[in-house]
Amino acid sequence: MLEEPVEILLDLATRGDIDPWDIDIIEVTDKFLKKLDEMSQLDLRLSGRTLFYASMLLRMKAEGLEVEDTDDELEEVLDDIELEEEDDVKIEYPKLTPRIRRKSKRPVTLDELIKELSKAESVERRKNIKKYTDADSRIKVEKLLKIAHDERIEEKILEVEAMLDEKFKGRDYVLFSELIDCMTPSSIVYTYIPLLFLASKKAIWLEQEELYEDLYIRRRVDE
Amino acid sequence: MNDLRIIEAALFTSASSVSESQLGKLISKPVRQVRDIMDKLILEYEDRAIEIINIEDGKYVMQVKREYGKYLKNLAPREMDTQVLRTLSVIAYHQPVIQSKVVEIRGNKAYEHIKELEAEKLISSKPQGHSKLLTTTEKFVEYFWNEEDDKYSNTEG
Repeated sequence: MLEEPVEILLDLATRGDIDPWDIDIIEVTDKFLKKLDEMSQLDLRLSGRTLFYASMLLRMKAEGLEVEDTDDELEEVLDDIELEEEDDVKIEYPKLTPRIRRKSKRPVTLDELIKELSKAESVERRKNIKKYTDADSRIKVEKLLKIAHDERIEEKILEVEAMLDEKFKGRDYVLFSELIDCMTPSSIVYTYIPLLFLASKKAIWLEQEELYEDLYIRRRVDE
Repeated sequence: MNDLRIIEAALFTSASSVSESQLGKLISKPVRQVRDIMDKLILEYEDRAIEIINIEDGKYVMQVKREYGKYLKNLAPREMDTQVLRTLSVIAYHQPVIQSKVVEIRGNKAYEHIKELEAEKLISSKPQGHSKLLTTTEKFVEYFWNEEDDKYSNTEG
C-alpha cells in the first residue's frame, strides 16, 4: 500500500508513466490525482501533501529553466571575452557612430496654398463638366426614345421587318421601291427610317449603286 | 564638455522648440544659468544665416533667418502633405463651409485631412445639423500672413 506522495511519484516513474528528467507538471498532477482516486482510503493530509509536492515540482522545473537561461547568458559573456582577447591580439574593428543630422521641414507658403486651390478648382470643374455631359447625353437618349415612341417607329420597324421577310423568300435582295406602294415623301421617310434602324441593328445591309437610284436591301449574314 | 556647446547641439538636433528646463536638465544646471548661456549663444549667431530665438516664455528654437528662407524652397520638404494642403485651400476659399461640401469636392479622404487640420489648429469646426461647419483659425492667418511681404516664411525645425 502506497502512502506517501513521494512513493506514489516514484511508483509512477518506475512504471514509466512519467519521465523524471522531463516532468510535465500538469500531466503528473493529473496522474497523481487519478492514482489518489484509485486508492481505497482518502486521506486529507495525503491530498494536501500531494499539492505541496506538485508545487515543489513546479518550482524545481522553473529553477531548471532559469539555469538554462543563465547558461545562455554565460555563453554570451564568454563570447565577448573571447572577442575582446582577439581584439587585443590583432583585429581592430572600426566603431560606427552615426552623426546626428538635422531633418528640416519648411512651412507651406501662401503661394503654394493658392496653387493647391486652383488645382482643387480645376478638378472640381472637370468633375462638374463630366456630370453635366453625362446628364445631357442621358437627356438626349431619353428624347430620342420618346420621339421614336411618338412616331410609332417601333411598330413601323416590325411592319417593315415582316414585309422584308415576305419579300426575301427565295431571293438575295429586295429593292426599296418594292416596299412602297405609293412614292410619297412621307411613305418614303416612314419606310426608310425603319430600314436605317434595322441596318444599325445589323439585321440588313443597305446598298445604293448609283446616287438617286434604287436602294438594295440584303439580309446580313453573320460573319 | 562645454555646456554652451551641448545646448547648441541640442537646439540644432531638435525639430521644434526646446524649453529652458529641458536644456537645464541636459547640462544639470539651474534655469538661471541656462538663460546666461542662451544670451551668449544668441549673440554668437548674430552674423550667421541661422538664428536662435526665444519664441515664447523660456522656449528656444534654432532656425534659418527669414531672408534666407526663399533660397531653400527646393531643399527642405514641406511640412504639410499636398493633399492635406489642397483640402485646407478648399476650406479657406469656401469658408464657412460644411464638412459634407468639402468631402463632395475633395472626396472621402477629406475626413482624415480635416481631422489632421483640426489637430494642427489651422481650422475649427462647430456642429451644424448632421455635419460640421468649418472655418480657418487665427493660427491659419498667422501661418500664412507675412508682414514683410516676403513670400517665404522662416525655415524652422
